[in-house]
Amino acid sequence: MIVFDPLVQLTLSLGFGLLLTISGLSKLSNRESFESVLRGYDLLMEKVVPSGAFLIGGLELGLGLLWFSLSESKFVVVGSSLLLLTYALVITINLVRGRNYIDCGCSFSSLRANHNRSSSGLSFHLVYRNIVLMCFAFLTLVPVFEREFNVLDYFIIFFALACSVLFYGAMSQLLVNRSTINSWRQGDA
Amino acid sequence: MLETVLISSIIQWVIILILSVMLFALTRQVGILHERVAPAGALQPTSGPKVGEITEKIRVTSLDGNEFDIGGSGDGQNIKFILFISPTCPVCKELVPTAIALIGSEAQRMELFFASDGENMQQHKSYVTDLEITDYPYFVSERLGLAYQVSKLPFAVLIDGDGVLRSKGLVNTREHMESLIEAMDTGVATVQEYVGLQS
Repeated sequence: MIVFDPLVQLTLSLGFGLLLTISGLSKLSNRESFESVLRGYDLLMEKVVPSGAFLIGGLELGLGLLWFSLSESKFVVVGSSLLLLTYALVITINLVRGRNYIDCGCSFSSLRANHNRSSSGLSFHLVYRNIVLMCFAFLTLVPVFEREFNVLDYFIIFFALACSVLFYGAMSQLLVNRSTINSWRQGDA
Repeated sequence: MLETVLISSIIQWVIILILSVMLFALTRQVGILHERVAPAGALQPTSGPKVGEITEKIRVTSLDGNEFDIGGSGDGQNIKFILFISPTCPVCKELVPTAIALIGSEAQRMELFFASDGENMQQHKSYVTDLEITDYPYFVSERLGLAYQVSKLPFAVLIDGDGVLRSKGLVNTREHMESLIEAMDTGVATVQEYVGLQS
């Protein structure tokens, strides 16, 4: 039977907490922008878009806080995975429809009201990214052995989280760059 | 011993963090470059036939002996992308594989031709073999170059199925060649014309 060091579980839990909390707060604080992103997906009726935007933002924030609480509950893992799976399905549906030009809404900066950055369009890379994140989420369900943390452990958690945030940001930026390069061919960059 | 491991671990993490910051900064800088440096279009000369005009029909013979009609009205065939190159032009050599890839992606509607000038046919034959473009028609025709006023290389001309000159220009990169196709698709020949239409 595979047993992980608790350091892996703690780092992953805090990482998901950070990701979902920031994402949820970003969506809730830029409701209008997120509502227009939701409209772009063209899957919800117009009258439920505002409440849908609030619900999604709230759900992300709630799940993020639950990850921080380190409750070790399967509900948090399954809930987060279902959310990521739903996003992957919604992206896939729109890619099949040929609507790869719409804003994915997954870049925190693209939701800001006064942003002037390019946003990432839809691509299957976003679907793969969500699947990888789901795999990481399920890794937290692997049993861990018990041990006391020392100063070095907290040091490693801090640096691992900082590096993860930067890698995630770099990956998102690469997707935006790819979208910009692809748009050149259509002459609308 | 434990202290050594601790210090080396801290140093490694600090290095990884610095590298992560640099990676993020680099991707961001590439993103900013992409936003600011929009691709420039091909340089369009003012001499020679104008874009939108029906071209003169010119009969040319390829290196393998087949005859082709370039230009002239109404054959309704595929769009012809003619790339003027030369064995003495170093940029042309770099651009040929790019042209093959680009026109390959437009294969349903576009055909690629190569044109050149000069008397040493053996040199052209070796050139075609070296560039592995034996599958594409390659003309050695002074008349073709004069008709389109080709003064600098590599130069590209795009003629549609009705023999209308759709775009032309000096091309040095893939973006330049793409801009010719874009000019044909949008009907806007130059950036200046586009700006004029917007204002």
